[in-house]
Amino acid sequence: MTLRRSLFRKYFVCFVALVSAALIVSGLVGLHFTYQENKAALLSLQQEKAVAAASRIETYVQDIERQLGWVRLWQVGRTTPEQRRNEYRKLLRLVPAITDVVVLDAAGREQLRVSRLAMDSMDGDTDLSNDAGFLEARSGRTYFSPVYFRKDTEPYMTIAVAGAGDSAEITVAELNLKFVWELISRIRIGQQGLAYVVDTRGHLIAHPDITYVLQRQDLSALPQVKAARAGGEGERVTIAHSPQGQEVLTAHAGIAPLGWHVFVEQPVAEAFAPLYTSLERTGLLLVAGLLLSIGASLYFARRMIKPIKAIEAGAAQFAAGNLDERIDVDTGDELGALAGEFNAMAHKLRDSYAGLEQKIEERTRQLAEANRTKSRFLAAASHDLRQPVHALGLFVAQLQEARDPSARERIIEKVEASTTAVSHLVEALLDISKLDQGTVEPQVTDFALQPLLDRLEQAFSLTAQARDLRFRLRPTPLCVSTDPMLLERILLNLAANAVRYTKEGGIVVGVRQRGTRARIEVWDTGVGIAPGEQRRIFEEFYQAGAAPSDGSKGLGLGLAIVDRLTRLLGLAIEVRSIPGAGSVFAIEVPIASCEATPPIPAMSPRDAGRIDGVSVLLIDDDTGAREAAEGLLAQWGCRVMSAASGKEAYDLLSAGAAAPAVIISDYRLGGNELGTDVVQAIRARLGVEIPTVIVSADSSAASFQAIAAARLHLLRKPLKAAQLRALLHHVVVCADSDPKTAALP
Amino acid sequence: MVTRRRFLVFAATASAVTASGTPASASAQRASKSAAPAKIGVVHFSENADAPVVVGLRQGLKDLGYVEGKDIVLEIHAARSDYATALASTQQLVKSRAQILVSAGTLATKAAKEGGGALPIVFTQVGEPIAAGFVKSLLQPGGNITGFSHLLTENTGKRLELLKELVPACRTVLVMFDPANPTSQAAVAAAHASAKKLNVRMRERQIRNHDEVVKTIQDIDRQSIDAMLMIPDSLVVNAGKQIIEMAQRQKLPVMFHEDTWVNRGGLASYGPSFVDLGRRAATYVDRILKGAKPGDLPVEQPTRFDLVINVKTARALGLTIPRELLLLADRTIQ
Repeated sequence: MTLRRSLFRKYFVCFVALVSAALIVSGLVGLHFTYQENKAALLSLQQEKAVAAASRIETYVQDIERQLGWVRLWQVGRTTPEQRRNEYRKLLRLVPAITDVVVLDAAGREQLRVSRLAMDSMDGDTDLSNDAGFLEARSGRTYFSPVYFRKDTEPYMTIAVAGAGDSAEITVAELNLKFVWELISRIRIGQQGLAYVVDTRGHLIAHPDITYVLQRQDLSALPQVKAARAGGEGERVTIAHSPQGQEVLTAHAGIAPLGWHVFVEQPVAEAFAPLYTSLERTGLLLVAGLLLSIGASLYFARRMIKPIKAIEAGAAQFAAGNLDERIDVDTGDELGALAGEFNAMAHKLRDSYAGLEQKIEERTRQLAEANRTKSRFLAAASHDLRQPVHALGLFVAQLQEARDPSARERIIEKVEASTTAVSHLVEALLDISKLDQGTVEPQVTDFALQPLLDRLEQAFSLTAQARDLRFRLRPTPLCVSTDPMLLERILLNLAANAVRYTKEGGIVVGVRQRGTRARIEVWDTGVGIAPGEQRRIFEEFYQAGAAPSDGSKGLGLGLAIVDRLTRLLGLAIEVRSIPGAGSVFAIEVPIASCEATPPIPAMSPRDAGRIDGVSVLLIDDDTGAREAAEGLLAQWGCRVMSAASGKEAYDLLSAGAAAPAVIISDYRLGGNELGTDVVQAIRARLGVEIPTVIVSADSSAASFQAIAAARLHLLRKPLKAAQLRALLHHVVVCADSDPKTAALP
Repeated sequence: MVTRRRFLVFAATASAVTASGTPASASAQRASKSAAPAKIGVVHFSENADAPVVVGLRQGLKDLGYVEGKDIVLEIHAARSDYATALASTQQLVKSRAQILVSAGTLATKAAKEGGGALPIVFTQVGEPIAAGFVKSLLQPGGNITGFSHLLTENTGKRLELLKELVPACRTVLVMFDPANPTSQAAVAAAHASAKKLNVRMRERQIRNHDEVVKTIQDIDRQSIDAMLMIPDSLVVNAGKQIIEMAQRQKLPVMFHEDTWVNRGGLASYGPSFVDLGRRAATYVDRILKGAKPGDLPVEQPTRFDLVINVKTARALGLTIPRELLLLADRTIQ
């Protein structure tokens, strides 16, 4: 939930911030420009109004000035005072603002006076030569007097204009300024704005409210009036206080010939009202925009969160193991794709769970099967062992009873047969055990096949002959790359099986090349194997329906060993059989080059060379076993020194006995003493690496590795005489040969 | 209704605050929204209701945006040259709750001041408001009165000058006046000064009431006088009708101060337009309605002086008006 909230808030804040920032910035910029533009427009409008008012007054005054000038023009050629008087009376009629006109001669003497109120005079002789108007006009400029008031309430101004040419007359006119007042009163600036005029002294001379004028207000202290009178190029529009103290937007313009200034003013509140309205509108729009953006942000944030929420819920469901759940997000964007990926993942997870369960079931079944097989194997093994042991017991009993030497001889033969059977069975069981433990490491070398096949023929030709069977071998020049001992073991088993199950006919062993492989085939004309049994014959203690043809009882372990060996060597074995006609077992072995292929040491009893005269140190803590071996070695003509422990052996050697040529030692001596340690000690003591054969009943991997590490030869109990003799011969003759740790009996 | 009334009060206050700057139309609207139209009382000495002051006042108020009957009501009293009537009229106007009194002429103004109590007074056609005791000064009248003077005293000489131009042969000029009227006395004094310059003799006839005026007119000796100059004296002016009849009968040129008489057959007039004075009075009425105090409004002088000549009358009198003078006339009546 915190995720949802934080992500939602993040999105929301992000959206709002973004849109609001854009809105506010644009709004403020807009406001700024609106304000500036409107203000500028307002100010320029005010200024224009001031200028317009000023120019109207200026035009008005200039008109009067011009009229005065025209009157002078009319006078050209008219000399009678009456005519001149009439011209000026016409002027008064044309210009209602002029109430009196006085014409002065060049010396400043009054020549004519025309008035609205008073009687005209043409004979006055008043001297006005010191009059300011006369003096100013005489210098060529139009004279404008300060404003004065008649009867307290009537504003007046005197204008004096010089005549042209020789006449040099000066016309002095009194101007009633109420016309200017009317003009000013008609100027309207907005609802409450107005215009007023101040003269050169800064006195108010025209205002819509005449009262202010009649009070002769002095406005020279007002900042805007000061600024106007000071002239200059300063800001002509300002915000100031009106003569009445109101805050106004005021602008002014000068009336050049008079030195007056027209001010137009408008209350700030009114002048800026449209501006404020505009600002208000913009502000409202801004607020509306913000509200809209907040709404939109809420909406979009919710929309964005919704699929994420759905994915989150879906993922939680998956985590809870509900892999059949489906996330339903149909946005068509990356989130939709993500949801799809989640769904696909859940689907695959579900499938792989199902597969795993199947595999576990399979494995459990296999384990149970293996367990059953083991139990069956053990039951079969114990049963098979019990038979000859039971027979041996009976034979020993018979032997004690029998007195007849020939009968004893027969019984002894039967004892030997039973012993052999037990020995074979135990050997086979040990082989299977070793193979199953994985302690056998194939020693792959390149070697020629022919010697191996020769030994096979030697092993079986006599047995075959005895049963009227042919045993033929096809010679081969091929060399192969595999473990020679293990391959020989495979072939021995196959050949033994072939001989055992063949009643008549023969056995053929042949080799043919198949590409890079040599196919070794063992043919027989035996009972054959039914197709349904061809796979099962490789199981332990499985025996096909047909009984062995030699009358013996097979162990049912030969093919099981073959199966394990071929798998260990990575070779394929193939069976073809027709029940009643015979079988073919074939294995394919990789071919190797025959160059520099060393000969394989023979273990055939026939090759067992002479070992007579060889001195042997025999160490065994078991007295029976030691004496049996001692007897056998003595038979072979060896000189034997025997010891029951390492200490005895050391004693023998320190007593001056010659160093033996060979040491034969049991692996486990009494009291935790190991044969390997004793041998190493003797070797160390004598300083000679005496060839040694360790005899062991121990099939543990530890013992095996210890023996291999000490580079000692190993023979498994029970010992076979021929084997021992062959090894001794090999060891003594080829003293430098490498011990074969994986040597099998 | 309460809300509306409040709004009206507010509007009225707002308008009062905005004072002089508010255009007349706005104030007219305000007036129209007020419950009752403002009542303006008018007192003049004429016999007919259509006195120049009434015509001008109506025009002026209309120009300022007032609608008569809706925004304002005029209650006009013609005193017919009788002071007692004028006084009664003012009292009547106070009773009928007039808000402002507009008076025309010195006597009407005097009546308004005596009978009007505290009512604001706007006077017109008064020659000497200070001398008459109406105001303390032209600039600051004080009290509840202000108005428009006519300057007729000052331009008496001017009228005499024009009369001499119209009737160049005239040597003796008749003037009638009420010696009790200070304005008239000042005018006559001014006329005397001018007469000397113009080389004209003055024949004065003092009158004290209307009957004396009538009698004087009837007794005029045409042979001993060449023309007559009207003095803007209420008693004399009120006999204007008889004077015109006499003038026509006796073929006597009469110079008036106001064009109303020329319209009725008088020879000529020179002076401020009384209609114009009435129009200007409207501006003060407007300002007083908006809250201005009459005592703060300065007494204004006329700016226009019109020369009006009745050519028809001149012809009947056998006079030839100089061409120059006709060109100078603001108005001629054919």
